[in-house]
Amino acid sequence: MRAQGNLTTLKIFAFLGLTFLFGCSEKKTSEAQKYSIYTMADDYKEYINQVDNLSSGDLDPVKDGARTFPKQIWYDLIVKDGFYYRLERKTNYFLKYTVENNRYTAVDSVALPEMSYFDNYNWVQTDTVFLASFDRKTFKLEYARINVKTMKAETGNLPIALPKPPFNSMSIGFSLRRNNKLFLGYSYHEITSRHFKTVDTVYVDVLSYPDLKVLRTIKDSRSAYPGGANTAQPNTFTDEKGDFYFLACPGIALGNNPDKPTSLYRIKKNEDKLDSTFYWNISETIKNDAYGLWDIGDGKVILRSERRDLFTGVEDHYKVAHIEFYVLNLKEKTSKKLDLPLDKGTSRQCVLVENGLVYLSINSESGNYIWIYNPKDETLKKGLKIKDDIDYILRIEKLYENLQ
Amino acid sequence: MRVSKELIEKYHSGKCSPEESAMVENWLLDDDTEIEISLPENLDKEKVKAEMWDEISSSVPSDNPGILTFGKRRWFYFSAAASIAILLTVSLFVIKTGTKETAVTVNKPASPNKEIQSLDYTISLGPESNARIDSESGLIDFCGAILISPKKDILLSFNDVCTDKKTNKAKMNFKKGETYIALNYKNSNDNELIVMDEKLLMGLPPMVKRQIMDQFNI
Repeated sequence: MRAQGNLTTLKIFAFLGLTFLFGCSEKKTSEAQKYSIYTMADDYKEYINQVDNLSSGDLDPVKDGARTFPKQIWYDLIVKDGFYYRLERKTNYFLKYTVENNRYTAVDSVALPEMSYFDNYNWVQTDTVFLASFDRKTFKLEYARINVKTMKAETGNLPIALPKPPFNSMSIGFSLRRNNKLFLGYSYHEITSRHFKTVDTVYVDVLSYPDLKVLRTIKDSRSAYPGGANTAQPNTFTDEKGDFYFLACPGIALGNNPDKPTSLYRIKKNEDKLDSTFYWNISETIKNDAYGLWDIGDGKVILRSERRDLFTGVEDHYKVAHIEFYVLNLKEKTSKKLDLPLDKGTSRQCVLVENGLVYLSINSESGNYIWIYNPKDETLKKGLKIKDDIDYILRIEKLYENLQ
Repeated sequence: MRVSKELIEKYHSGKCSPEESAMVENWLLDDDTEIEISLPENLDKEKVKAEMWDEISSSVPSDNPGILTFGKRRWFYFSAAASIAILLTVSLFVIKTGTKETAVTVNKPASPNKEIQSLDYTISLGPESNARIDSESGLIDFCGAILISPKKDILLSFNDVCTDKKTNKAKMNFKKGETYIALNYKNSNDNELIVMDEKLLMGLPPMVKRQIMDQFNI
């Protein structure tokens, strides 16, 4: 294991080092693009394409994309201000990448010796990302705060109650920084080679920030797995008013505690508790479990949900087209299914909003498209077509937060 | 696959042919196959060492010898030092292993997991897992998590033997050179047997995906 890790380290450093030795003078020749599309082709190779337009045209990622490495990153790639970030689990380096001249290249890194994985990331300040993860080997809940401009990191342990038998693991489902407070949603898990289960309670701790002392613990037994894993798919957002919403995801593809319903919760702007006036049993409304939540403004959200009549279990959940999208009206607590082809893939970063329009990537049997939903007149139309040899559209997102 | 320092330099200066670019990119992508780093024959250890240190000291500001300045150019210095240090390490390794050899071969380390070898495939057992194979029928009885590496294209059947009560079965066509995972996935209502291509692990719940990656060093 160690030798393999060292081999990867050697490659990354040789490449990183030589990039700087010989690549520094190279000027950026391509204009900054607006969007990043991350895909996996049917031969499992992964590509990044940066594009300016999602509304029309064709995209051939295999021909025109920048191949990424290592071979499989899947969804574990953060995008922010034109750069990509990921943690190399075998070497414990948090790496910063860019795509220049259509080449995906590592440009900087910081060692996080205690961390080989993270369930949750959150931009606590403009240039500072907060990562959190429980390590079963050390039995500690670790965090890192990394300034991605200087690539300096501060690491430590979070003082949250650690798992007790029968639970042997835990995960941070969401983190939310509000001024001098940090809210952490978390879950305990029972995991062995034979089974996996998530505790039947939603836990949220309120911590002081930046010194990270627990101020209070909130428990709610109506659902489980608050926030899921936002590396795979977002399940939280803060609306225009400053109210925070989170989806708890006990369905088989995330928490695997299917006796609990998928549920939506709110923490109001100036409050340190769950809003007792807002709770939505999503499973009851749509008769299915859901994972994936995106704010589209004006009190409406997009929900990504499964169709349990179309798949057998986790064995085919990821490869059968069965995913639907709903628009939820948070004020009225009403839902409306979007008339889209069934999408494929258990978790995706597949929705973005710009200038009042909602762009959704759909991997369907009738073709891969970016669809455009206009919430004002509730119309849907096809936009950019992505070539059929793409098996999964893993992520679509804005390269820069404030697009002009 | 032969990737030299010169080829990486060429790659960064944009002078590589598409084939050479692909070679460098594949080398970077290939983290599970053998690699070879070509170095000149008959290296003079002391001479190379001296040259490399000369190169490092020429990159470090002369008024502050031995201390890297953490300014705007710190990465340049760091990278220079790191690259040279790596090349130095590799060179010394080559020299140490004999003058006839001009390439270093790094093999994938042996898996800490127990392995079962058959004529047609290899099975690596995850912790708390067991398996029994019937080579003739292609039937694998198992409980837990196993990794299967077929040596030829083959149809294999799986039988969940975790409990005596309910038996799950699965069947899948395996391709030579690919790697597959078979695992049990259980909750209070259901007990599944999942067989999947290792390259599609992103379909598993993140906690399970992480455990499989840890168990099999993926």
